[in-house]
Amino acid sequence: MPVSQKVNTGNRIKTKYAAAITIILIGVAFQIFEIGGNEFAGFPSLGIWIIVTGFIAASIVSITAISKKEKIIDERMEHIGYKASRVTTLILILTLFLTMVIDGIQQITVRYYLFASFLVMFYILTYMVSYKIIEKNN
Amino acid sequence: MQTKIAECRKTLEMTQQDLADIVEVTRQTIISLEKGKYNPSLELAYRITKALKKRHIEDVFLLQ
Repeated sequence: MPVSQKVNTGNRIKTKYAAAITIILIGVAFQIFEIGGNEFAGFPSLGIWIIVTGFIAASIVSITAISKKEKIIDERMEHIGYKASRVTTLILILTLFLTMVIDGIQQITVRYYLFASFLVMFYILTYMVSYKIIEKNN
Repeated sequence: MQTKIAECRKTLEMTQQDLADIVEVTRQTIISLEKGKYNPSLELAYRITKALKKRHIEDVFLLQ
């Protein structure tokens, strides 16, 4: 394993753009073939939601490409990231267990896309917080 | 682990950023190493030793 690696290089940016464009194209295909034509997550259809998601992804890639030309990720950061992932996974498992217990006491009814988005947000926030805490001690 | 990075670096009139650029890590990693909070990999230890113009790893890193 190298001591560091450079991210936000040309090839990585191109790959991220390709992924964002693919998402947009999938959304367009969903629209054309009328897959998931009903209201979804506050959008008129699933296709529109996927297209918007693709554009948001492309915007994030553009901002990253403009603001940080090259960023180094070294072995210490990888080490902290690994520890933060472990902590986050453990917290996630415990939270899901707790959610199941609460559901057993009083049934929780929430739409799947809301549950999935909360789960992703929770994972990202927990990872960010645990990364910062571990970084302070390393 | 105790290190003599700060001491050696000052002798060579090198800043933390200079050393970080030579060994291709972030400045925060150099700060952590100097404080003894982070134990580097063998490769990084070798690179730092070489950048600080020392012959042996023991000249820079001391196992307590």
